[in-house]
Amino acid sequence: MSKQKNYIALHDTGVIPKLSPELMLMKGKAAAYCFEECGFNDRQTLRISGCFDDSLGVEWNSLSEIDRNSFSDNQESTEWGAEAIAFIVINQLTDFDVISRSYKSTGFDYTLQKKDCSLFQGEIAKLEVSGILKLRRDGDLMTRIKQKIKQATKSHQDIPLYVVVTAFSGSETGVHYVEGN
Amino acid sequence: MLKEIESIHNQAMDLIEQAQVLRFKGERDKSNSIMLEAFEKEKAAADSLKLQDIEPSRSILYRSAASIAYELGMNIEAERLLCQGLAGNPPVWVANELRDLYENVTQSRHLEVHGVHLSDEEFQMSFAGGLTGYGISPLEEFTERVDAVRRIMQRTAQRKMYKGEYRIKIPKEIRTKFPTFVSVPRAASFAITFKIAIPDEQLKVFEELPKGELISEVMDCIELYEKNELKKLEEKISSDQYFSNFSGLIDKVLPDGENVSLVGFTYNKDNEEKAVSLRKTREKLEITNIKEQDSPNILLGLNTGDEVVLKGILQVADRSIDVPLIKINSNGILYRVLVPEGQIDDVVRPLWDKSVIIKGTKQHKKTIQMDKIQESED
Repeated sequence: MSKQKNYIALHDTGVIPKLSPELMLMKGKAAAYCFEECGFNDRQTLRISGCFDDSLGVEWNSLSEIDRNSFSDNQESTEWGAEAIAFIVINQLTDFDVISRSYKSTGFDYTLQKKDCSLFQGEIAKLEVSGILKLRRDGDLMTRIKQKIKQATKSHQDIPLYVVVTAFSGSETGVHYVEGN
Repeated sequence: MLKEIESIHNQAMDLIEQAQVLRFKGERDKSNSIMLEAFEKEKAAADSLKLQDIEPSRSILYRSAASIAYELGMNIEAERLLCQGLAGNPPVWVANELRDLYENVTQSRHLEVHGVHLSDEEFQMSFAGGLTGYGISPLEEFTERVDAVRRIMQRTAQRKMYKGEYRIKIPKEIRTKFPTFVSVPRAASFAITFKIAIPDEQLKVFEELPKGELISEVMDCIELYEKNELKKLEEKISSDQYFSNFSGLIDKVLPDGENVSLVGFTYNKDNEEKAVSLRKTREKLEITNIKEQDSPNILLGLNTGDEVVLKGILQVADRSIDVPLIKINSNGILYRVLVPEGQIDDVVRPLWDKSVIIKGTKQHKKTIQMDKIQESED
């Protein structure tokens, strides 16, 4: 099932071809910042739970002081970091390995589509992402996943949905798949 | 043809990514000008499919272009693009998103002031949403928010006048110097005017704190809160008690996302009409930590510092210790709840003897440090 490499570099801007290298680098650095904030250095193995039972190794270059300062807004950094992990997880573990972008007032809206499809044609799915920097209780990850599913299925009932939530302190990513009607 | 359109769309998205990075670095003007460039490209991509029935591409591109226009404050353009999107054959999920965005775009009109001139001592508060119609609003949605805004104004006046010194009760001097009057509600969808002055007050020359400055200060705080710039807000307020007071009160003003989806404020600053809107929805506290255990005390088994959500009747206030403390009766157990000083009078007191839900962290065996409190719906 897994096409996983040993460790995927968060600073590798070519991991997701559809995203611009500059933004992928920023999101990758945000993920590295979140791991470092949780006391991890250089590399970490994430447990992938939910509809997968797998693991994913990620590594990163230690962040400079300047980088650390730019990511000091924990909430935004956690969101960006979680996006970087979600893109990698989706690309590594699902058939939906291309991410299309469109814009929404809350930021980017990511639509997953199969390879070789253009402009939202062909089989598509939605991607909802969320991140938790530090878990406070055991059930936090599952609670967040349930919240995201509830929120996303309000408007996306007729297409499949992936919900990917990363808890950085617990080194765990929950992936849930909701079939469309 | 699709490849060409996709190429234009990708250029637009690349520009937006650049704009996001610039915004992250704090270069807002540069970011906006790149967003505008992105908008032109995304609109061109969408318009290329205007007469084609290629879905969901057509409607997604219109939604995306409209979102950029909305973010840039180009509401009329956004409205037009959303209508174009809906005029095609969008799949249900895209149509829902188009409608949601249309609602947000048109809500901005509720902030307009119709037929009323706002003076420097006045501001308009308006509501829109599910149960709030044109000129009509459920009473409880209205009164609770009006009272919270009144308290925010007076607490801000107190903070400015007393140079950050906090007092649990709003001093009489503040209540006298900054009285609050509200106008008859009007249709806008539902709006009232607040006046922070005695109606016929003329003498403004020696004002210690000009009313316009006070209103501006409150609106700036509300805007920072809406943008989630909490660190900046904390620095601006620069007092733990006042920050906690503001956080507790603004929670009562926030839209609930169902009956009220927008609370807007319109005011004058430097002879220019300005608007701030709250779209962020209030976190609804829910009991999630119920588990089967021998003891009814829900704190047993939790560590100090663990988050806890508790429902019960707010019964007693204990003033015998330095820290404000209340007691909550939940299933026959009396929990001690430490309340932030800034919230005891304005946020907690109105809920005495009512069924409430509190969110906080465990301190001791039966003691919780309160973070948030809400009246329970049942």
